[in-house]
Amino acid sequence: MFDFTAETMLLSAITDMFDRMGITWSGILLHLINLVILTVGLYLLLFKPVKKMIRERQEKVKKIEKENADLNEEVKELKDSSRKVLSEAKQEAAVIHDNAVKVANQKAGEIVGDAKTRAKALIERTEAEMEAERKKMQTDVEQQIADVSLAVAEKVLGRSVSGEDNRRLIEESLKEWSERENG
Amino acid sequence: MAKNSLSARVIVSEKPDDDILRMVAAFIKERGCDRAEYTIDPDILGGIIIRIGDKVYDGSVRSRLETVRRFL
Amino acid sequence: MIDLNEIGRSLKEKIAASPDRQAGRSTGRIVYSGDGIIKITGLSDVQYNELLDVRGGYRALALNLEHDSVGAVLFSGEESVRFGDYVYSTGKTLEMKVGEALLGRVVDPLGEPLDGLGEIDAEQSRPIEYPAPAIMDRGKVNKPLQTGILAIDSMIPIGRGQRELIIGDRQTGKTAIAVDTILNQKGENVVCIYVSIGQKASSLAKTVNTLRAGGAMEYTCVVCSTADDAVPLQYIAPYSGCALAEYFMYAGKDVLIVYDDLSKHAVAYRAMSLLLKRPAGREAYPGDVFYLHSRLLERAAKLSEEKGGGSITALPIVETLAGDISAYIPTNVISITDGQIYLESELFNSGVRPAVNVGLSVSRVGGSAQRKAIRKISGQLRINLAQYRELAIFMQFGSELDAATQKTLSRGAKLTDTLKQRQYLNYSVREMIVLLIVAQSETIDAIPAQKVTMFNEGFLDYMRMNKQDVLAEIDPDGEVGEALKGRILAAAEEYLNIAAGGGEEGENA
Repeated sequence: MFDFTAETMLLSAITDMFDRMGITWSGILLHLINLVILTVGLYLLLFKPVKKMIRERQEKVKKIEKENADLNEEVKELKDSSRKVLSEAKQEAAVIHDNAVKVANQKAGEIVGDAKTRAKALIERTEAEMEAERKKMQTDVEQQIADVSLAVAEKVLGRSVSGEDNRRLIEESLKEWSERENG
Repeated sequence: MAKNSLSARVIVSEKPDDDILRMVAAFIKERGCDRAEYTIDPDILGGIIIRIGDKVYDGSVRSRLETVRRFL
Repeated sequence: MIDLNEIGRSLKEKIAASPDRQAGRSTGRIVYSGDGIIKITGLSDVQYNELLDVRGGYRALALNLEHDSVGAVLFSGEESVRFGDYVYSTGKTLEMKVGEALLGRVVDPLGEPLDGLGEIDAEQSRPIEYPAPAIMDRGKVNKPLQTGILAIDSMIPIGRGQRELIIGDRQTGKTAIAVDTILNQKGENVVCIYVSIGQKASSLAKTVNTLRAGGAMEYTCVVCSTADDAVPLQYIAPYSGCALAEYFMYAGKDVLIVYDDLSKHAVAYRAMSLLLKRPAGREAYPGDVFYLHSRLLERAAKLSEEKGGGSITALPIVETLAGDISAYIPTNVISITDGQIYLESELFNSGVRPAVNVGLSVSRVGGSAQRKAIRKISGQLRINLAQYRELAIFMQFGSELDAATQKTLSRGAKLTDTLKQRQYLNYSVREMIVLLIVAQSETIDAIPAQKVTMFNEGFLDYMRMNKQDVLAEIDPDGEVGEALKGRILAAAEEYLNIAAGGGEEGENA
């Protein structure tokens, strides 16, 4: 059986094998065509949507990443601004505090000044009262002296105003009254 | 002003002599009054008080002392 | 301590100065004495209102000259005078000591000191009854008298030379307004006289202490008659005070005189008149009770420039019973004065202090004397307040309100709050302008309803501390321009931002 040339023998062997396995060249060709059709069909039906899906996923991921970045940025901004607000608030608080201190100081100054003037007025008043008291005592003493002297005068005059003195006194009185009423 | 029936009341500390009587009579005559009722009151200490109607002329030593006292 | 030589010297001086002999004097004798009234026979040439000497050193005032007797009231010695005592005429009417020496003093209606600060050496005296200035001697009221009270200075302005009645029930802050006004005259070159008529000694002491603590006694004299003084002293007290005021007025000065109060004066005069058996009229007051007050208040005037340009501004006080201003004395005094400040106890109790009823209070001449800036700003104030009150009454029926009405209501409430003012807290003209501008602007809407008073006090402090330049720029006699208004409102907003949330500053202030 293997008398033929090697090639022929090989070929015939293969053909023979094919024959025995029921494979024909046309069958192979048909299978090939089948494969091509299958491949193309699969490509169109399966691969493309999968690819598309993957692409979409990728895009989504990218978008999320971008959003993340944006958010980060925002957070950073917020942090910045809050820091700024805080410092401003601190500044403002300092100003307010300053103002309050100023107001308080002025008020305190006023109160102290007021108290001082009041104290001064009190002292002055007390001094004046003491002076008045002293004056009053003096007048009291004067009054006493005057009373005593007048009492003495009465006693003495009761005896000594008489005769000529009395006459002169009456004369003077009458003359003065006449002058006053006529002049 | 003063009626004729008006009489002056004169107070002196001791019995008046003629001089005084004459001076007082002239004084009250000027003020429309011709009678004088004399009272002797040693308590006025000296001088004279003449009262004619509402008017009073007080020249007594006591009133002068009173004036001084009130002034002090 | 006591200088004996001085005593001797002063005694000698006094003896030398004492009159030598009295001239002939008219005399009479007491035929009746009771309740401080004496009847005297004799005294044929006595004059009406003449001062009489009663034996024993007492004094009396001749008030009734009758056919055969003279009725007089005793100033003192009611218990000591006796039937038959001699009474001498003096030929003088009552006189009050006058002069600069009386400033800072508390004196009785005869000029004698009551404050324990020694003798008053006044060289001059004036009769307590004196004719009012003639028509030709009077000038136009053209200068304001600042009370320092926003409600009054903005809506019921008082001019120098005006007579403005303060009327209201007891405990409505009548005296407080008068005292605040006196305190506000510090540095204004106005002499103040406070006449107390028949007041409780305790409340008078309080007033004097307030004036002293406020540094107001330097330019003030207190003429006082307390409730336990003899009725004639209460009767002459306002005339004495007025005599002192006239001294300063004719010297070209501006004077403020407070009569606290004239209803007690009328009561004192009624007591005297009834005891003197004068016929009684309405409410048992004598027929001349109107003249009693008109002749007193007519003496308050603004003198023309030729006469020195001095003025007496009178602030009589009248107490009403249960808000009845149609009683005899209130109507009398209302018709005499140039306007009235009506205080209501209802307002007072609801926290509106000063309790000025803006609707019933008027000032008839003060408007022309008002500072120009204030006049401009406060022109709308009265109308706004009236609208608010009308709405507020309506609101009590609890109907639904639209936004505009609500805004008017809240504005009105805040305006009312702005007019509230603590006692002894006087505003300067500039501060009043600031407050009025803020109260009538949009800014006021941002302030919470209950915090307006707090805001005002704090804001004024803030202005004084930090915006001195804005305050200084305000010209009370000019107009407040839009730019300046803007700056004031900006300052208000600034303060509002600072104070918002806590309002601590307001509380501290």
